[in-house]
Amino acid sequence: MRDHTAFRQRRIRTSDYACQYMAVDSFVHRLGAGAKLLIGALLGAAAVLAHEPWSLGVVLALNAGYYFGARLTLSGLWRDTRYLLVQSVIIMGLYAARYGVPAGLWPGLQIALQIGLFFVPGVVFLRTTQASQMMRGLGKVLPYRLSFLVFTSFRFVPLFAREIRQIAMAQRLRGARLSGVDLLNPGNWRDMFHCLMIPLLVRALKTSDEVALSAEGRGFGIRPERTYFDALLAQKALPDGDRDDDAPSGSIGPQASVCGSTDRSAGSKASGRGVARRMTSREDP
Amino acid sequence: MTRDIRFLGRRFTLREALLLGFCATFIVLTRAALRLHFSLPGHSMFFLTFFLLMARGCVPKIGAATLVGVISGLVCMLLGMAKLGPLIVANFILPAMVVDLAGFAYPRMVRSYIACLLVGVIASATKGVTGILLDYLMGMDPDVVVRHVFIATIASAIFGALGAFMVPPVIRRLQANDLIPSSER
Amino acid sequence: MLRVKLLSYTYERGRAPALSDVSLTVGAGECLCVTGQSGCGKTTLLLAIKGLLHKGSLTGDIELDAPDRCQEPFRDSVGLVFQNAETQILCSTVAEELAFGPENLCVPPDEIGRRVHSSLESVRLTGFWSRNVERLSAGQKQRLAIGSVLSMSPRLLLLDEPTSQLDAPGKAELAAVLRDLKRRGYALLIAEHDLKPFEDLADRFLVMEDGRILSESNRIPIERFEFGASGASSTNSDARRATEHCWKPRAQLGRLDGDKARRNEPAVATDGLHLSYPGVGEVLKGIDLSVVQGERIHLHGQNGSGKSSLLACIAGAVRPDSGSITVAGKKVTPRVSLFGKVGYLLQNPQRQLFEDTVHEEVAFSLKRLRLPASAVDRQATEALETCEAGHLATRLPLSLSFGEQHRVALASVLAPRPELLLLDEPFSGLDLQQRIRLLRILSSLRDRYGTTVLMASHDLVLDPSWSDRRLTLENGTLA
Repeated sequence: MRDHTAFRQRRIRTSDYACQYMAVDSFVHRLGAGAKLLIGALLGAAAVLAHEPWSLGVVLALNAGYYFGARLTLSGLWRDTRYLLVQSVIIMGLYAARYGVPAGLWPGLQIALQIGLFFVPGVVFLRTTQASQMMRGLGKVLPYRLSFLVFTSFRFVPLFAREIRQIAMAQRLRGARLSGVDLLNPGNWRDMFHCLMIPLLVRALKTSDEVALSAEGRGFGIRPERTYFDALLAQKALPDGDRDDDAPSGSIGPQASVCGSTDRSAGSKASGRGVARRMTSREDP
Repeated sequence: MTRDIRFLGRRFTLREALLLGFCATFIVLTRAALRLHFSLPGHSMFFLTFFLLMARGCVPKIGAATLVGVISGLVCMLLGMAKLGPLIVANFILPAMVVDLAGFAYPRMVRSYIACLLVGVIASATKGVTGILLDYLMGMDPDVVVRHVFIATIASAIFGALGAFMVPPVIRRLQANDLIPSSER
Repeated sequence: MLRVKLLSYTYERGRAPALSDVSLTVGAGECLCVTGQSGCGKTTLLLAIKGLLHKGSLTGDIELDAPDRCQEPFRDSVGLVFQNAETQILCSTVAEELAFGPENLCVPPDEIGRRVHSSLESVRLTGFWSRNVERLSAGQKQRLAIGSVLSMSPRLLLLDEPTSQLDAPGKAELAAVLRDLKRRGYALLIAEHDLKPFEDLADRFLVMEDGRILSESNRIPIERFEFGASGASSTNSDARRATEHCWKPRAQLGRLDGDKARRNEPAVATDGLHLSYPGVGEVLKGIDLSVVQGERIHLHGQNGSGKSSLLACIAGAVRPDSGSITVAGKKVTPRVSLFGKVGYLLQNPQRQLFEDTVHEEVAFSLKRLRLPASAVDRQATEALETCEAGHLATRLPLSLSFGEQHRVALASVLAPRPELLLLDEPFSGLDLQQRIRLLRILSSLRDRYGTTVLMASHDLVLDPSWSDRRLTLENGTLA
């Protein structure tokens, strides 16, 4: 099975995803998720309120400081914000159409910049927060059964990615029009739903049966409450010999031994998630 | 041991809830795949409406689509795919609520092309709601807001409608094979 | 430990009972193997013992010596390990997975830590604490699945076809783990097709058929499950009948039609094939392969040895880093379509069925080849007949049994009469009868169409003489 995992990785790795976790160490990385959300909310509000050139300049500087303070790169910034460029062009075009060329440009640019700045804190959040950290946060906020669903869906992302790849490969050899080029023609979209989506949904139905049985077989939901075991905390208490040997030999930085992988994309996203549960043990009412 | 494990106010069985979770997984996966290949605006609505309606078809209960919306928004965030930050949750949940409402009003909706098309258009048009809100917050000229939202929404609506249009044949086939319940509750 | 008395069960919508009057006992430190063909009721029996059958009608008694320690209607002294390790693992890391069960039972966290630790030791995964489950091999996943049940400290362990996804070392490792558990006093009940790995582990063997227990013995029921090395020493009449009229080795093969057998032209040739994945490294390290038209090749290798990658390269679905591939006289490049020339059967056939009827399913490729309607019909029917599935033509493909789906999927791949047939682990999930049937079908292909068959499998083929050549792939090179 390993080989299939692998060719998924190749494809994803060569792509340049925006907003992926950057495994460097910075003061922003060390902030708690809650603190980052608070900073994000403040910066977002500032972007909304800044209408004058000077205030916009201040917000721009703050955001730039926040972004690069997190030791994120310029090329990263380009990846994160290029989606917004299309948006900006549309907005400026609309303003220009409404108010004429010289008059409409500044307000257009201003709004586009505001919208861009509104999103930057979110990008920083995603770039500096590990999935495991977010999962721990979610576990605190959400009711357990809902977070169980979220984590299970998350866990099955790579499995179904593999599944989709396998189905598509087999169906293509049977003549289904599923390649990238084929899909540019809407006439072929029918194939995608019949040859790809039906088998996929059938697999999902079967998988949900099996997962449900497995969860039930291990006592999921038999009691209204449950205990929490923190794998990371417990691991630290172990003798050295039992430590995980999976941590990458780190040239990435001081965090590397904890955070594992360098990106969180679908290909290898999961490797660093050793720390998914809560620190404390408690019983939910 | 005859009791069923129930979810969310005893609404869903464990199996149904997991199936909805997998629909969310598919939304996330297709979103990731599409982002690799295309950069057309609004394309993500294509699979979003498809899987929301499929979720409704596979688990014909009120709230099914909304649950899928919530889970997919959160998983997107975990994977760092939510470039809009918290807004993504709204972007997923609003269309999901439209699907649920439609399912409430017309339970056999998922088998009908016209109903699906309509729901697809309305669901994807909700994207405009967040757009209007944001533009308005930014102090955009109301005149421009209308046009901007129109442009942003029309692409979504077209893709959403196309995605929804693919639902009835798939649902019918799954029902014919007795894989999903064909009687709506 | 466990006493089952006259257990009968009928599924909610089932016509015939899935279990009828099943009685058995398993003592502490004892290992009992239940075997039988697909659909004989093995899995249902395990589910019934664990208490996971909610609907339908269940009669008879299941007595457990170990009293349940929790008040809820949950048999925590019974641990059930399902067949598919991949889908029963619910968490992202090993330790979380092991803690999942005890957490649900409200075991205090300190105690969970101890249990996780000892479970890891029991299934020989020490040091994998925070390993991501996606990075485990099939064998490790299977052992993790067992560990995740052990951490709930059961006394009786039920295992449903634990070896079906495993290669030889994986099976050996699993058997060793189970032997340890048995020595420590666990009672084991294993449902399995392939009893070889458990030969010296199991104390007794039960054979089931149609929900009933046929026989019980202290030795592997040889007459049914031992398929002699060359078919000569086989005592199984079915197997003998199967061997009699098929799989002649190439040497005995009659002359192929001149047109079909381009004798001197290899059906598949690869030259210096290299493939690597970032993060994984080189998967294929210079594969030079030459397969003659009509040859039957068994590509043998352990999980992760690169078999599937090689098949995917040959099918043109994955582009190698370097090296060339020629299939049926054509060089494989991204622009050349092998559609119609190469058939590829997935491990799980359910993944490629989608049409409304079996006939349409099989005709799909033919229609895509734009054959005239009469030819489509003829070839589809013929392919179904070849795969012994003619009687299924009007059925719904998705409602068939696993074995039937397998044959329909094979028919749909064979309908365009591919020159090369690629099979990825075709035996997984099939019982002995079905395996023999598959070999028989595959053998008939060469006589009829001169099809070259390349089969990747970590298992040995039931009858080694079936294949003309066995190639062993190890760490990306052909041994």
